[in-house]
Amino acid sequence: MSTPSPAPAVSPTPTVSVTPARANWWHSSRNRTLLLIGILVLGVVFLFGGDGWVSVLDATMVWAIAALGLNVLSGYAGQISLGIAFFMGIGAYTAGWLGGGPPLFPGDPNGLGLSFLIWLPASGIVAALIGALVGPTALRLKGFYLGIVTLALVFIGQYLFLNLRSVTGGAQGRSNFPTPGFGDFSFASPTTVLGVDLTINQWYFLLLLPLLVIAAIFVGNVARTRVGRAWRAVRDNEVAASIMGVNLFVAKMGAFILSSFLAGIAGALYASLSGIATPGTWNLLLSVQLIAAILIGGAASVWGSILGAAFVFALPIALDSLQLLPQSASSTGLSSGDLSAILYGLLIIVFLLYEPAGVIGLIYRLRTTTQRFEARRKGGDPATQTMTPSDNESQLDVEPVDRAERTDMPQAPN
Amino acid sequence: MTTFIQLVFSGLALGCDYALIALGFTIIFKASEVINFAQGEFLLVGTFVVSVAMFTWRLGFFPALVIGIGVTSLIGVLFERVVLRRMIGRPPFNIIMVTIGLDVLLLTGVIILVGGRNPSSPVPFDTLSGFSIGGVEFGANAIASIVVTALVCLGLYIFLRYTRYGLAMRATAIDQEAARAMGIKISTVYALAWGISGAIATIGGIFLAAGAGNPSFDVTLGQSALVAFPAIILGGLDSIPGAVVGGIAIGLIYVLTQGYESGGFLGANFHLIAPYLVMILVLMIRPHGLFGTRKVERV
Amino acid sequence: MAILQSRRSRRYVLSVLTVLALIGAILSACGTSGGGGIKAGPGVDTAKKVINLGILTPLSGPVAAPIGIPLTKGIETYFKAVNATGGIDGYTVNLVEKDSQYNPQLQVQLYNQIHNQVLMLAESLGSPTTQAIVALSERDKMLVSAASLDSILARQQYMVMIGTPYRLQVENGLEYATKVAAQLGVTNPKVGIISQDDAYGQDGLTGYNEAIGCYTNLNNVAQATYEATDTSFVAQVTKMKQAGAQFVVLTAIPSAAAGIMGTAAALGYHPQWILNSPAGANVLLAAAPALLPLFEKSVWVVAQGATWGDTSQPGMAEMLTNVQKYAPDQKPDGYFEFGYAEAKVTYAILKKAADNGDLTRDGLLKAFNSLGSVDLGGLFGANAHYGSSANQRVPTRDNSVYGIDPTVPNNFKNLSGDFTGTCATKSSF
Repeated sequence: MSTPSPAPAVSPTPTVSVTPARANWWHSSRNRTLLLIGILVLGVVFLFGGDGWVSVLDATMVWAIAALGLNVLSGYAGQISLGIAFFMGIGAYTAGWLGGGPPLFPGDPNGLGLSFLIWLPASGIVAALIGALVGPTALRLKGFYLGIVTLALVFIGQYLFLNLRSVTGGAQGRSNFPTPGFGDFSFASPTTVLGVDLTINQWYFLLLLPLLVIAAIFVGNVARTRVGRAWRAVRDNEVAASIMGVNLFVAKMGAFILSSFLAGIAGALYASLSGIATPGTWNLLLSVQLIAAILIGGAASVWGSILGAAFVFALPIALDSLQLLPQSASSTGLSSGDLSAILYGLLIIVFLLYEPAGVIGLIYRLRTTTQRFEARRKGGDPATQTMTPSDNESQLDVEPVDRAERTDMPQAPN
Repeated sequence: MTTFIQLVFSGLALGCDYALIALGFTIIFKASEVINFAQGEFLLVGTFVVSVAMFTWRLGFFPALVIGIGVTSLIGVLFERVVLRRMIGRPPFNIIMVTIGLDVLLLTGVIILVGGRNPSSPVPFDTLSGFSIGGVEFGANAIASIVVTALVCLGLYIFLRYTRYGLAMRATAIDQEAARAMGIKISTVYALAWGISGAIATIGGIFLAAGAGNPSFDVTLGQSALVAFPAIILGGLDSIPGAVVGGIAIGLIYVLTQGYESGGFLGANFHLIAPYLVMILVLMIRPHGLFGTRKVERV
Repeated sequence: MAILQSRRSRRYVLSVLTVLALIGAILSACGTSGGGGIKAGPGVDTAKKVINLGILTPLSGPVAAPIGIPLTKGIETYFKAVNATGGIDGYTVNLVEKDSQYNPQLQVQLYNQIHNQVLMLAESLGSPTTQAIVALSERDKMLVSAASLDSILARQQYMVMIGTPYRLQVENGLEYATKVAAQLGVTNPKVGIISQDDAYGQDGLTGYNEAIGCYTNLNNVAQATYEATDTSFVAQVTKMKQAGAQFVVLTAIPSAAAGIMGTAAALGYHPQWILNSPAGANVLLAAAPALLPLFEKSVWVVAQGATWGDTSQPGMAEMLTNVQKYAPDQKPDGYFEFGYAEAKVTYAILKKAADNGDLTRDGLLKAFNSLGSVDLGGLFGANAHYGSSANQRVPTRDNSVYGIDPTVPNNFKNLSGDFTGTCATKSSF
């Protein structure tokens, strides 16, 4: 344990908005403990949870990847976008076209049957390319205007999906999305590997978890580099950012392209998991739910994306299976879907009012408050106390949570 | 030719409905610089309440209308006071998102209350009545849409130009600080803006629900209001006459493309995105719309 | 590890591990007991003598009140009656119901939740939702009673369908139209169609195009689509009106159908409307009481099933008795009837399997393939026929054309009697 050193007093204000050479969060042993617990919980659910819960986890992980993508664009770079559903759709149909097998139902378009190692990256790349096409026009606009244009993108996307029947199957949708597979081994008909007999959903789990981890680490790392700081600068004040030398166009486009890439991948995995997608799948509600996820979980935060996705998408099923709202046709009350919609609608408002940094922001605020409380408890005026980090925890470990502190007036769209 | 005239007339009527919705957006925007994404659900709530009052509680049309307007205005004023007041100074992203949260709440609320039966369209006259000239039908509801929109515009004009509160609203829209310095109570202006906007939304919703003869409507009514966004972009975000012109233009575009698309090379449902394509075009060429003020950004 | 060096964190981690182990133990404690003379598959509890059946249907949302809820109530009512009279060879049937909200992705999640706890699905409502679980049910070798009339599900091995698909409904409806037109002296009736832009509408449109090919005297003058969120149908109606269509097929949902017909009336256009069964749901009449006189004159609904209250049909009489006992508040509803009939088929499969002593998934499939015909007691026009292989398993192809008549209990009066049109008979899919 470190002892209080006679260093100059450090002001205990938690709202530090600068994160220079940010210490790796897992240098803290508390964070490592939490991670270990998280892994254990996942492991328990994976092994004993039953197919239902594993499949919920699978879906949540796909949503988390999409939320990460949205966070890159809207959370870190501050660009309002309602268009993520469109890019997910693009990714899904790319995967279907490249990797899909023979039609399952009349009306299913043909697929080229290419390997997983082709269709998955391709779905991200094609979505990113479309993002690169759309980006320059869209990103010229700001704020509300950008939001409206991305809204229009969703509708235009649905129109295109409806009419491009040879790829999307038109109104009836498409069911022959590919399942992941490596060489002879395919998720669609998994053989026993190493004597272990897993269900399909468990195989998906083993695939999705590393994908999510890679995406999360990647986004987290990019956010810590100059690119990420440029995004934040653009988000906070475009004019100041450009004065500082940030190339606005490059920064915004970079965020847009990365966001579209992740959305494409998420869309492909989503379609693969669900087995069917119609043009109606990629609707405005999907975008709104993802926005709700990052707002509740925490904008500009990797863990926030994951937590938010879990909340918005796993909650209805969790409520359902806990039988809190038992339902049968003869006794229908509030459905879990409606209840969770009310919940996340309410939480969007509450969080935006009181904690715009979402649950992650809450957690940090709680933690720094307890630190302050501890310091006060140790005696004396906190202002003269030195805040000694306990357990090797770095003081600079704090996410910028200061969106609430900004005082610029709402900008009139130009 | 009769088809064309019929479509133009219907487009005009639909456009008047959109104009009312667009007006609602513009009034709020001019007063408090907020884009209310929940405007569509205000419309839904208002129409739903009027429908329930008219058919379940068996009140007359006008009492029901008053109740509907009252409820929507109340929700608007409450939301402004409880939520938006506290978000002053926050980034625009957050403010827009908060209205989206309200949108989700209102929509789910109506879904729960409606419970799957489609409420009847609350109009005070027989939807089938009307008259025809040379093969073109002029339905009662369509005529009413046009007439009422004109009346609402007239009423707004008189209100804004000749009453104290109207003057206060205009002053606040031009320069909030100066208005406050002159003693204008901004909170009253805000409340008024949201209240009027809610009332207009209800009226627009009633006509939208009845369409050209729809006996009932369902919870997707609010989604139809999203088309008002292209209307306000076209007309100019901060222009009231722009909202009306934009709304009518979009209504015409919508119905005319719907009438002539016939599964040709444009495919199905082109009419749904035609307004948005127009909007994107406007944003590229003339972002402040037809009547909006060009904003100069000093750096 | 550094974590375990501090005593405090060591205790912390230990307590967490204990809790997790407990959770793991609880979660893995499940399962059905085995034993007993009959072969039992998942979802069958031989000790308590219960057969669990799954139901995936919208219980909330726009499809719930008009279709999902009455249909499911039909199934519930039937099995309540079955349980009261001794069940299936002594086994009671328990329904595990989940709200799919008509969302295919959610349906997949719910399927994954219940698929190990039930023997078969007594109901899976909707076409896209059921399509989403076709591959899954094949993998699980589980029968699914599909409450959908979309013809593309018909040839799937594990789908138990009942009812004539939308496609054939349109064909039967148009055959009836040719007959009526002939009686009125119209040799080349002009026909048109307005369909919803989704799978349902697509199926109706397919049937329409087939019928145009079959009945050569039909003159196809106009086709239009609409989107579910459209509130203005002026364009589509005007198109029909300009083309002079005398018969217009509506493959629509009730609110849109009401809107289209109301708009047409307002525009002074009065064709004969031919509605697919969902458009003519009872909800239609409730939504538009003012239009009833209009409907009486010009609306046909193509559906099937005995008129509610027609006790000359033994199946209907039995159903009414059970409604009295178990669902006395139930108002006349075509979807309730549908669900009840569907449950009868499910019962027939289970009974046969139980009689064979094989209540496993394979046993059910064998029973289903050897079912032959199921006696519905006139609840549906004809009895349901199921062949021994997927290709021979043709759902019913018959329909009746109903008119709207407020004097009749369910407001629907059978105009044509039960029939299978020539086009519907030879349609292959």
